[in-house]
Amino acid sequence: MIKIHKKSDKMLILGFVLPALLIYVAFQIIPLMGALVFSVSKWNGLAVSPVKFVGLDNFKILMNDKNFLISLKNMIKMVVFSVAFHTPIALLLAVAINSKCRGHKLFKAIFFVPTIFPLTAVGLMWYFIFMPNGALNLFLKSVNLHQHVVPWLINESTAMNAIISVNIWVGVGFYMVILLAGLATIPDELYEAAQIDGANSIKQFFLITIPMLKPIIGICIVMDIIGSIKVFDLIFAMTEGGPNGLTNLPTTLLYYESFRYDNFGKGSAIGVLLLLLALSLVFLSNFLTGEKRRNK
Amino acid sequence: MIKKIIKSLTLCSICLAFLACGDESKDNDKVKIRLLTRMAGTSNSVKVYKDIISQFEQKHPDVIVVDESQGDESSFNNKLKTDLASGTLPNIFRIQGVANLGEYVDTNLLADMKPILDEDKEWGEGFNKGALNYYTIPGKDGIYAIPMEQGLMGFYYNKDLFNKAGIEKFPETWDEFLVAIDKLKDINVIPIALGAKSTYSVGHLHNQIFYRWLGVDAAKKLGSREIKWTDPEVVQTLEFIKVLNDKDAFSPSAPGISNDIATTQFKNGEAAMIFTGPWNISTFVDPEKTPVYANIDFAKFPYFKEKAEFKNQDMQVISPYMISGNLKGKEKDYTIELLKMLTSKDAGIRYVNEAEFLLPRTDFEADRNKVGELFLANNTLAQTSDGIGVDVFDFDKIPSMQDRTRNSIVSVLMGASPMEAGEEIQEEISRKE
Repeated sequence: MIKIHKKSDKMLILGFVLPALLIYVAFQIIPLMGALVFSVSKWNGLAVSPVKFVGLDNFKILMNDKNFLISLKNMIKMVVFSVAFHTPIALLLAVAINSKCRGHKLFKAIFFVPTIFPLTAVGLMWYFIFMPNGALNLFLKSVNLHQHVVPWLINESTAMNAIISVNIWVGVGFYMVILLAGLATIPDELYEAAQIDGANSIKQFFLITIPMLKPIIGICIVMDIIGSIKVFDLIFAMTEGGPNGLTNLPTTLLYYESFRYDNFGKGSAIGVLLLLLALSLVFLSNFLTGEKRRNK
Repeated sequence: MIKKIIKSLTLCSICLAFLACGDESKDNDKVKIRLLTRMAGTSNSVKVYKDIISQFEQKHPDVIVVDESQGDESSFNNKLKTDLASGTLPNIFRIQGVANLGEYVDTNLLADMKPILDEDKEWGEGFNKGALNYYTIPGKDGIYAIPMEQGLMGFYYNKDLFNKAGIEKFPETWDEFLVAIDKLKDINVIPIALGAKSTYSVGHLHNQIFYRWLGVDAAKKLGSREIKWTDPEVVQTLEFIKVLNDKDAFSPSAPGISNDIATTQFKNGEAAMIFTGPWNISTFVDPEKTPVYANIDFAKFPYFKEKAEFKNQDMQVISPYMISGNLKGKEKDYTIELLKMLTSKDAGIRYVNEAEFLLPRTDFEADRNKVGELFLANNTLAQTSDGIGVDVFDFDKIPSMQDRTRNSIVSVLMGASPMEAGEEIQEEISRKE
């Protein structure tokens, strides 16, 4: 390890860090402070209009806003389903591919491909699949499953689920790659010893793979929670939050309140609530996956 | 030594990063005019617009025109809001609505155009009075925009499909219209192409129904709270949307498809009519974009027999140019000059003859050899309007009413009752006031 003692070394480090630090402060910390101020204010978005302090009014309004409550419900659903499906599916795929089965490189590429596409393009592609006369319904009709033909992105019971399923599909490859990297760090000797002791593949999976990957799984869950809370482009490309606000998430509502309805206070309050929610869920997830204890 | 070199390079790179703004001293001597309009893309009207700007620049070498116009509505709105929030309003721009313009006037963001119109009689008196008066704001003196586009909203319909269905002429009344829809369904075509994922499409349809049933002034009364969205007469306008939906006038896919897809259904002959504005004329007459181009005609929305007094209360598109209220000196003079060039009689003649795009001026006529029948049909019928409204929510001060009204109308297509939709809209008003 390089030890830093000299003043000139510290200056050098500062020289390297300063540009990134300035950019971070300018584009993250200052806007965050701005959002905190606006969240307790009323402002219509005109530079010449005064910013009026209203205390917690914006938060109180949100708690009684039907549209916000719908968006919150959608977001919770998005987080729960993403966490429940992303990591387990990614883990199974990673283990299968890590076993170096025939064509594992091809499978790895196939599962990773959705991750490299822009989410807007993915959203548009799935919009054309899910639309009433889209590919999915045409397929269902072609195999005589007419009773299952539904307007996926319009129907109250299917619209949000359709978007969540796309979010799961598009994210699995990303988490698979992270877990593959984690699998590569597990020493082969552990599996060899387990084989000598007579442990079958399932036992090896639960007694070696999962415990050894626990920190990586924790990271995946944290990233998944944050990623699911931040989803915006997928919704915008597939439904724009509609029909009639049915598929709004707090992120899309934040956009509408701020940029369409000239209500920057309410929009900022949504942003602050999302930040608090994300932080709480991350702490909770770290606690549950043992990160806190491990770090101690 | 190596450390010193690295240190020097790092510090140099930081300095360069902060100084990399370029030498703008040459540009600083010039007057800069920024435009943020919806005139972007590759259409003929945009070509004329760009050409006029180019002529202006050639005439004034000491002016730089920065055209930041956006064709896409969302991109445009985002850019405008950012400019408004940062206090860097463009010289020429546009804001949707009328009643909501009051606070822009109060904060001096909008210039009153009346003195400028009065000063230059030749330019000012050439405008269509109805279009110009649209930008008089309740409670304020003056005119706060120059109209730059006008045209009648109505039904573009496929004559061939109408003939096949046994409909000799486009229905004039609502009752005849409902009969026509049944006949069109009998020949297995979609009677009305509608893509309500783009909520404005169903919003436009409702606007026209509203004006036919209650007249344009009723929209103003909604804005001033003299009437409510839950009043039976207003709910009735939503009921008509439900009637059309229940009659399967639209495709069952309508709530889930975009307006582009619905327009394609019409262009391909899968749908018999579409309710839209004159901006589509250039594609409707293009054989490559519209295979059924030879069969397309234009008609006004049918009227209600019991409301014959509103027979010609029409939805028209009226788009504005506004100028910043903070301009002074040469910058103001040049901005006004450019605005006049973009909306002059000469510009109007070019727009109509080269792009079938109508400037709302009355001091010129389209060259009948240069414009198509569809444009002429729209233009001729537009002259019959005795009341003009754009969007019903234009008269409402609450900015969220654009989305609220359109979304609630979409909910009617999805099974909500007209009263539920009306209550939802009224609830938004109660919450925001």
